Amino acid sequence: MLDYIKNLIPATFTKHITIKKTVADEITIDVEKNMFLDFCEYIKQNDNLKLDGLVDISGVDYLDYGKSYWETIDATISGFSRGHKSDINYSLYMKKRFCVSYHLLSYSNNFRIRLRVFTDLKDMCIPSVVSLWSTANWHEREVYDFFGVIFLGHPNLIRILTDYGFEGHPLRKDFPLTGKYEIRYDENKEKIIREASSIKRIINTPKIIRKDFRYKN
Amino acid sequence: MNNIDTYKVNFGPQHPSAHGVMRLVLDLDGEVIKKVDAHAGLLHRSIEKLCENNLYNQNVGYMDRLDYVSMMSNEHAYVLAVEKLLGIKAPVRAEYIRTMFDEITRLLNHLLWLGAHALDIGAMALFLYCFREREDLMDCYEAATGGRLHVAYYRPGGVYRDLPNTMPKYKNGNFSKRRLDELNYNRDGSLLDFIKNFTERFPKFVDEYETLLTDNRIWKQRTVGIGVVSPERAINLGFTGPMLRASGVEWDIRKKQPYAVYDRLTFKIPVGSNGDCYDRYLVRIAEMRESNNIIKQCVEWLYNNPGPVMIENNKITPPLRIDMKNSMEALIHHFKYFSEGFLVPEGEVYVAIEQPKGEFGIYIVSDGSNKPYRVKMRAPSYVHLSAIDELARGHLIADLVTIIGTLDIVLGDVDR
Repeated sequence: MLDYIKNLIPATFTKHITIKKTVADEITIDVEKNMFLDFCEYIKQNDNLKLDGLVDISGVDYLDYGKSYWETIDATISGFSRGHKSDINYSLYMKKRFCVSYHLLSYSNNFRIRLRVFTDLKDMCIPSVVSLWSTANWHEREVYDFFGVIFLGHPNLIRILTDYGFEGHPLRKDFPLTGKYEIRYDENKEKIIREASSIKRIINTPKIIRKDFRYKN
Repeated sequence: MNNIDTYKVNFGPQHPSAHGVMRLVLDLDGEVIKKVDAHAGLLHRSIEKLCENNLYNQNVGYMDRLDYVSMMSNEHAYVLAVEKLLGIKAPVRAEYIRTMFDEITRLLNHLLWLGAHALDIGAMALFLYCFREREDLMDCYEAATGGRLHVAYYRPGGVYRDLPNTMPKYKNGNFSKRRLDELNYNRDGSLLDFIKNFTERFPKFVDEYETLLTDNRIWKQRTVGIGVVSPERAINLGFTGPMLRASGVEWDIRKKQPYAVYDRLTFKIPVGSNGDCYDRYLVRIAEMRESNNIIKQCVEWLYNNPGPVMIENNKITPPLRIDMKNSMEALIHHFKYFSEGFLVPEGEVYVAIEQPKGEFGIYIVSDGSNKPYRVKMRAPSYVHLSAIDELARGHLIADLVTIIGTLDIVLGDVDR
C-alpha cells in the first residue's frame, strides 16, 4: 500500500512531504503547509487515489509530549528517582507545537490515510479545505475552538462547542483541567458574577513513562 | 410589498423534537426555511480533555456517555484502538460477544430512533411498541453487565466477564401469579436462551412496525422527497452509516474493513436509492432485520464454543479475584493495574467502527505513558448535524422536525 501510494505522487510534491508507515501499518503523510491545499486537491482528484471522503480533522498539542510526573529512567544504586520532577524538555521531540491530523478515506479504493500538518504559535494559520470537502466546515471550527488554529479561507470560523463568550482554547495542554473561571450568584450584588476558579486540581495517578528494557528485542 | 425581510425564530434549546439540548436559529420566509444556523455545544462536557487526564482503563466509562443510546459500540471503538496500540487481540469468544452486543446495541438505537422519529411526525403508538422491545434488550444488557445504560463492559483485552447462566426474573411484587408466569416465561434459561428467544420473536415485531408505517399515506407524505441528498453530496458532506447508504452508496465498515468477527458472519447491506427521509427509514428497518440475523449466528456460535473472554496477560487485564488470595504475583498485578494502569507504546492510531449512526472513530495519540496523550472521537452525529442547513433549506418548518429525526442525532455525541 505504501509503495502504491508513493508511486502515484508526482515529483512536484515529493520534496514537501514525508510518507511513512506508523503503528499497525497505518499510512501517515506529513505535508508542508504551503503545499497542503494543492496536495489535498491532487489526492482527491487522482483516480487511483481518489480520497474523496474526509472522515475527521483533529488537532494535537505537543507541548507536554513525553513529559511524565515521575522520571524513572535512571535506576541508580540508590533506587529509582521517584518523586523527582524532571526539567528535561521532551517537547523538543516535536519541532512544532501544534499538529492537525486529517483522516481521509477512499470509498472506491477502500483505504485510509492520515495527513498531518504542523504549525506553531508564531503562525497559527493553515489553509482551509472546506472548498474540497464540505464536511470540513464544522471539523475546522472545532479545531479552531479547541486549539486556536486559524483556517484561512474558512467561510465562518467561529467557536462551536464551547460556551458563548468563552475565553481561551481548552484542549491546549497549558489550559487547566479545572477551567479558568467559575460563576456564582452574589447575594450582595444581586447578580451572577464570574471569578477565578477556586478548584484545586488533585492528581490521583501521576503520568508515568517507564523505559522498560527487559522486553526489548 | 415583497420586500419583507426573513425573520428569525429560535428552535430550542429546549424543544421536544430537537432530541436533546440543541439550539437552531432559523431564518424563515413565511413558513419556508431560508437558513438554519445550528448552535451545538450546549451539552459540552469536554470528555476529550478528561480522557487525557485518566488512565487508559478508566476511559471506557466515558465512552458510554458520548452517544448514550449506542453505548457498547462506542466502547468497542475505544478498546479496539487501545488494543491496536498495544498490539494485542481479544480472544475469539470475546469478539463474538462484542459482535453480538454491538448488534443488540444497533437494535436499541434503531428502536429508539424509530419510536422518537415516528412520535415527532405524529405516529404516537409506535413509541410504545418500540420501547416494549427495548425493555427486553435492556434486560440483556443488565444480565450480562449489571447496568442498563452505562455499562463499561468491553475492556482492553476482552470483555469484563462471560455471559451469565441465569436470567434475572420478575419477583413477586404487585403482579398476580398468572401475570408473573407470563412475564417470566422466557427467563428460565441462560442469557443466550433469552436472546435466542428474542431473535425468534423480533421479526414479527418489525412486521408490526412496518404495518403501521411503510404503506401509511400520512407517513409517506411526511417523509418521501424530504431532505434529499445525492450520493456525491453525501460523500462530500462526510455522511456515514444509514445516511450514506440511503443515498445509494454501498459502504459499510463491517463489510469493507471488517473488525471483530464480522468477516465470519453472513449478512447483507441494505442500500436505498433516493436518499430521502423515507429511504433512510427503509434502510434502518432493513438493518434491524439484518442485525437480528447476526445476533442469531453469534448466539449459535457462543452456545458451542466456551472459552476465555479476557487475555491472560495480567499486565493489561486484572487478575482473577481467586488468584489474589493465594498468589503474591497476582496481588502485585492487581495493585499495579488499578494504581498505575498499563503503559501503552508510543504511536498514534485511528480506529473506525460501524456504529448504529455511522462511522464512529477513535484517534489516540500515545506518548508511551499510562494516560492517552490525546483522544479524539469522530462522532457521526456531529457530522450529520453539520449538514442540516443544506438538508433543510427550502423546506417547510414542519419538515425540519422530520429532518432532525432522520439525522438520528444524539446531542451527547455531537457535543462530547
